[in-house]
Amino acid sequence: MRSYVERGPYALYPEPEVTENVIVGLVHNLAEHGKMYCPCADVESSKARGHEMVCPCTPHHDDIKRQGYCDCALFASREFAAGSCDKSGPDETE
Amino acid sequence: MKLNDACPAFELPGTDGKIHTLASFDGKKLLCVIVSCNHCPYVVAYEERMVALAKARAADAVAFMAVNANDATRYPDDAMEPMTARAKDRGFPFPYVRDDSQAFVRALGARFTPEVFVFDADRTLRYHGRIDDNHRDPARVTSRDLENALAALVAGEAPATPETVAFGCSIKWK
Repeated sequence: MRSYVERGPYALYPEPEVTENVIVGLVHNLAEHGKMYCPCADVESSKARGHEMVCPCTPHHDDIKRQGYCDCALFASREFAAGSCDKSGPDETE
Repeated sequence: MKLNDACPAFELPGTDGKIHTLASFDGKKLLCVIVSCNHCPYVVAYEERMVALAKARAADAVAFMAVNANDATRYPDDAMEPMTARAKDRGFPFPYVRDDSQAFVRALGARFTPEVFVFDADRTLRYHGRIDDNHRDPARVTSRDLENALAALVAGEAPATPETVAFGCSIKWK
């Protein structure tokens, strides 16, 4: 996770309590289901989608582009993480 | 919104076929709004606890309302029809309403599902955050934050921990 953030274009979601919970969910899914399926998606549905919902998932780029952070609130744009965006969601005027 | 802010007005359709407003809860000592949805695994894990807590506190004039604001275009499971099926299937003893415009949930400042907002008799915010600290395993919960807040407020006291960090799935904004 750390290397992905260090090498990639995104930051971690700016609240450690939130990201810790997501990481615990990922570890749980790895232990229980063999892959780091996104904890914000139904695991059985994710399994049917192959690797698409394994973190970092395929939709996270579009999620971050749209709302500043991925649906699990693990990765965020650097702008969002820097606090320049409203944490309650994307600007309604966008 | 911040603690002690007033509950935003709402007029939202429920799975029961009724329109629910703040006035619908007149006479209730507390109003517990849970920002929820159909498809989030965190919500699914908490539904049984939500129902149990609502039933346990009904005699204390504590009202619950679950509100789903997720973009149903991208997530069809969060549309009114699947919501109605879910409410029936899980036996929700509280209104499950749809905020299609997302205006109410935006006004709350909610970010996740589930995320809880408890309003007192004056409908000012007295507790905001998570239900408890372990969605996955009720047996391993060490901090029953919502339950504790409700107990304090019913007793006429301020919650010892009025704010916690909610966690779950992000709300699916339009």
